[in-house]
Amino acid sequence: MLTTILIGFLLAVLLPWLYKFFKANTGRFLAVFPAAAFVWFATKHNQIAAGGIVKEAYNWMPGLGVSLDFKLDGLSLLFAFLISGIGAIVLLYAGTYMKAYEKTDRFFVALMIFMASMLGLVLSDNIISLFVFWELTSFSSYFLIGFSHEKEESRGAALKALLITAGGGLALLAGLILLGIGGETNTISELLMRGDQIADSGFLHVAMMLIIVGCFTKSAQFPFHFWLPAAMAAPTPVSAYLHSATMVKAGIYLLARMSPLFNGTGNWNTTLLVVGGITMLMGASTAVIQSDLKKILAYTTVSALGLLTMLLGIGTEIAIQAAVVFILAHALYKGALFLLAGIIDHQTGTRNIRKLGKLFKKMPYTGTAVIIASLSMAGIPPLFGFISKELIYASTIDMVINSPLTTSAFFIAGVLITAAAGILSYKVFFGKRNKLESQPTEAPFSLVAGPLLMAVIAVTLGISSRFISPLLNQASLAVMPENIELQLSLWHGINTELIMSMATIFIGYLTFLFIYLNPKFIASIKVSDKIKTSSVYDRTISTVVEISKRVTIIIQNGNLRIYVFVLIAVFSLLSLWVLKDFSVPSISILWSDFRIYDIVIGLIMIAACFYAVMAKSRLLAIALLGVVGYGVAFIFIMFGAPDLAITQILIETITVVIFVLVLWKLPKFLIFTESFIKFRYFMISIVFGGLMTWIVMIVTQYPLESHLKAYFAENSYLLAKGKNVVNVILVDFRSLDTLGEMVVLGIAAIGIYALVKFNKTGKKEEL
Amino acid sequence: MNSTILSMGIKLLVPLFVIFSLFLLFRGHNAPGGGFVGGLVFSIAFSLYTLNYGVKRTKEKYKIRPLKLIAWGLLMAVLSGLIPLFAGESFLTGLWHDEITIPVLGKPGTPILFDIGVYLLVAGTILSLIFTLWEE
Repeated sequence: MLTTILIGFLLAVLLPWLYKFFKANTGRFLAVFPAAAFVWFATKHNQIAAGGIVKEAYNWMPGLGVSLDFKLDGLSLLFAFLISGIGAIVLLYAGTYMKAYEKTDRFFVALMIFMASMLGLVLSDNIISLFVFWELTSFSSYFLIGFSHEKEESRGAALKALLITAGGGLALLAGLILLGIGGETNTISELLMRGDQIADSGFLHVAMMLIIVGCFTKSAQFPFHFWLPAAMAAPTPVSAYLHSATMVKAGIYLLARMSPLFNGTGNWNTTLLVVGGITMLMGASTAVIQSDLKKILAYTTVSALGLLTMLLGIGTEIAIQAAVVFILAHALYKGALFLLAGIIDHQTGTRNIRKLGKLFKKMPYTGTAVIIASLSMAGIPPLFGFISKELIYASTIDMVINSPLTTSAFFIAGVLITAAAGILSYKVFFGKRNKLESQPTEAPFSLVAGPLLMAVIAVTLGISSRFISPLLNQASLAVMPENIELQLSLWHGINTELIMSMATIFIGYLTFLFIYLNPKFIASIKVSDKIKTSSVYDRTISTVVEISKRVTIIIQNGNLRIYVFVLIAVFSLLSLWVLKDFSVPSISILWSDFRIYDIVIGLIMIAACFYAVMAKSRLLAIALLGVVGYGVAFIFIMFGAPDLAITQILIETITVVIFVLVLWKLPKFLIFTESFIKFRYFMISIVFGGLMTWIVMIVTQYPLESHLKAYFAENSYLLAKGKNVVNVILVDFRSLDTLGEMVVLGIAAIGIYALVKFNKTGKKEEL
Repeated sequence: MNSTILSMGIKLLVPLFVIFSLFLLFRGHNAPGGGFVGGLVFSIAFSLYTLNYGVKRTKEKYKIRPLKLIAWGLLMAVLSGLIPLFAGESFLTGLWHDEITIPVLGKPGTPILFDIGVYLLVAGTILSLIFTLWEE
């Protein structure tokens, strides 16, 4: 499993070169990876369906309990199938669809990173590696939403999604770590069995609420849902893949994964039930008044995610089974519908349903696929969506308390979703209005093939659901280990569920007719900004920007002298605060310890300092500071630190070169005439110099022996095969620190380049 | 800046500087030197050349792209960290090949790769600073 994930990341890294080689066929080539992964997972299907588990473990940071543990069980396999299967379809589709865009190599890089991380997320059995993959999906989603980065809307939507999901990710991290501390392990499958121990530690409820927040942000639950409709700024393959079939279900996945631990404790069920219910109703009711195809699909996705959360909140045997079945049903029809909406947009140039109509004769294959997917969405037999809807009704009716309320909530949502399905299929393909300027034609096969396949699977699974039953059964067992066996079938006889289902379809049809016949009334419905949670977000962001602008004006006034003054003053005050308990140590100076050249160099440095302060030009001052620097290098040599001395000399040289470069750009050298300013800099210099002397005096009071020194000296040659201890520490013992510093240096260089070069004229020059 | 001695001298000195910087880089494991210092010497050579001939000529003559040096430096360092993973060790563990000793380079091992990364990164950073500030 690690190999699969690593291949995904490797492909992302190699993509710039692959893209040069494959050009327009990149999408088709890349689709081989998820397809191969799908086949690999398929070979494990029988083992998993029989109740087996595949495990892999690799050390990552064993000292911190972080390891790359992977576990493939029913739930993971279900998601892995979705990620790799839909991934292959989406890559094939994107290969054709993205031709209209520029720089698609970047698109594929982000998509491959996402695919690999998403697989990592659902396979991880360690909380830290799960979190890393979780954040990587948010991160790649940011780049994909903001792919058309020249548009303000895309950038805003990308940032919105990142702030919401990554912010929730922080809550998730805290929750997971608390679980790890409480359960004394970082392995998820171990944690799930240590519920009592975690409860005893007192962290269970806090961890639960934090994890819920993380999952709610990721899975677009109310009140965090608004990032998902905004994320529709992404190219359509991304909407289909990330924002309906896979990534947004990561939150659902984790809630399901953690269910064995939390189900039935504290506020878990109530929170999930209430928030899920609100999200479901809000999403469904907003969906039917939208006019943009993708927005309709986005809000129905929000609604579906709410429904999944609600089912996990109900938490009974049958509700868990309904959730697992619905994950599959929804991914199939919604992924297909998004791709088809992309085709309609691609072929007609608009996604506005008020303009679209009568497309079926011109686009028969697209139309067929849309109709099948919509029927599945509406839950009409014999499609897979119908089976899923039957199970959902069974679980709401089966509830011990609040059954009527929950059932009617789902009934209302179901009616609205059925109406939305009607709009998507009937309005667009048979509806009266057709205000298109151009004559649309059927899309190329490479675009239609994928969604048609998904539609066919939805029909096949509906008719012969027993093929998928064992896997879904294992998936529900992963969420609820003591669950009853899942048996899927189309016909359960005439019972309450069937009557409810038929009533939903009928009322849904009437609702659709009402919306279809009164387009002006629907268009006149406006949702007030006051009740939108997104306006809270907008206000917060604009306030933060406003505050930081004001703070920046005060702090960054552009006067370098003030910056240095503030830095040194703050440093001195803080040091004095720390050192206030120390007295001035008495040190006895033995003049006989000094060698003559110590004294000479010391005097030269003191004299240079003195003249630097009195200098009448900047060049002179810099040269004199250089003298001080070289003096320090000499001292290093005399006290046996050749490495430091070389570095010091070279840095001094480069500083002089850089100064020469910027010299003529600096303002005129100031000679202060006001005595107050002179006094201020004089005082701060005295304080800082005195403070440093004091610190050195204190430090020399303590012996310099430390076990590290001895360790490095002893092991540098034995373990690291180097005689130069300084170098060995830098490149071997402490190489992670060095790597961090290298990254900082690189970022600083790029930052300076950007600051100087990307000025407002927009003129760029390659460096 | 017009100094005939410097402008003639630096032409001859650039190759020497580069060789010396490589010498510092490779001796660093056992004697004073190392990637950081080597990178600094490397960048000083081209900084002095730039001071005399300008950025454009320096880039044309030596085909130097500082940002690429930075990228390669980071890549080398990360690679030296990733290689031990395939040997079942944790990230950045130093691996050595004991049997062979290459003249000048010494024993081949991943820390050398890491040090080369430091060398390239430091050289790239300083040169990108110099080039950026000069061109403005």
